[in-house]
Amino acid sequence: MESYLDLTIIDEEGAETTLGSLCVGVSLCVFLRHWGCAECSLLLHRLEPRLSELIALGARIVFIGLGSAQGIASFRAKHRFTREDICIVTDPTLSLHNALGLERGLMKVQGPKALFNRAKLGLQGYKNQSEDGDLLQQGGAVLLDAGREEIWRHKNTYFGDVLDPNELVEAVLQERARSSLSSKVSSGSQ
Amino acid sequence: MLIHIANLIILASFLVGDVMWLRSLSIIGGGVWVCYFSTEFTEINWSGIGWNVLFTLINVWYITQLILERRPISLTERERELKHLIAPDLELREWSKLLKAGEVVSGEAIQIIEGSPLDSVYLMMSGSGQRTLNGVSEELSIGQLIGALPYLTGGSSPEHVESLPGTQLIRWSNNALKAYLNGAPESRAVFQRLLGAEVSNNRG
Repeated sequence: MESYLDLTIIDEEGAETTLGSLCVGVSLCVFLRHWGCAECSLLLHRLEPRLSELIALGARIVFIGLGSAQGIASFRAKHRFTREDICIVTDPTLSLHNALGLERGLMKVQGPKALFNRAKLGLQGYKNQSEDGDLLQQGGAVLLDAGREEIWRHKNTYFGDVLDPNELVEAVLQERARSSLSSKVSSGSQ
Repeated sequence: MLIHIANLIILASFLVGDVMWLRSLSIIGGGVWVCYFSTEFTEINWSGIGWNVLFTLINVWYITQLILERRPISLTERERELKHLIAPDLELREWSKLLKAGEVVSGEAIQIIEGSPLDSVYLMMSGSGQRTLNGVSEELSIGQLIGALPYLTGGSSPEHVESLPGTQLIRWSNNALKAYLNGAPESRAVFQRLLGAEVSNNRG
């Protein structure tokens, strides 16, 4: 069966690749909504201070959008996201989001919780700025170990339900601790 | 007359910037309202009094919380230095709560034997000691965490640790610390940085 890691995505240069080719070692794949999404601004605001920590722990970070390939550059510019060690790709076909079973639907973005979060984000200064990509698709994140096994997952169930960076870092720490312990056991038994 | 006094006090409460003053003036204004509802009607207006008593109770509750939050924080010189070293961004009160979730162990030497179960995590506050992992020894330094791997995996200590007499450490039981950090996201982030430093350096 074809894994979502084998599905085709588009990189910043507009070239086709697969998510699997970008996931080397422990990898965090963050699935974004459309490029101008207010929720994604909140996500980056929360995640950005922890990115260096995640990279220091050996995690490879890949952001996957669902807008046009041209939108990647403006997304980077808008969020002043200049780190080159963080990869941003896109899948406008939504194949990846679908394969992962990420939520999609009108009620996910216009339901009571979603509307409450939208109002809250608006008051905090997070507003939708452009609509490049599917507006109904929700985001999420998966953490893969070095063997590409999924060890942590977050699915946004409604607009504004972004991942908790502490939970994510905890999952990376536990994975690192497990692999560190197993390497010590194997080096000790030799 | 009482209605004007009560409203003037409530108006004054809206003009102050400090929440403590706002709530205090609201309580005073509420008291005048209670007098008004008690004396200005042919029968005592209990519904008016009841609402104002409810508002007063809510304000008293929040004033109590504010007073508790604004109490001065008492930390030793070493606790302040340690905060400056490992958690400069954390609010002093959060740091104080994190310390109180554990206990300071001082005076006696601490020994953790490799392979033994470890249900606590230690933070070096002062003094010195040594840790040995796979035959490689290194000096313990201030602000270093001991027991990161057992904390994360629930296993035994992969290293041998010995602190010298007079060393001061903070000890948290793993379960109690996890329970505390679940409700303290800022402190959890600080702790994750410390754990990350240990795990990245392949220490336990």
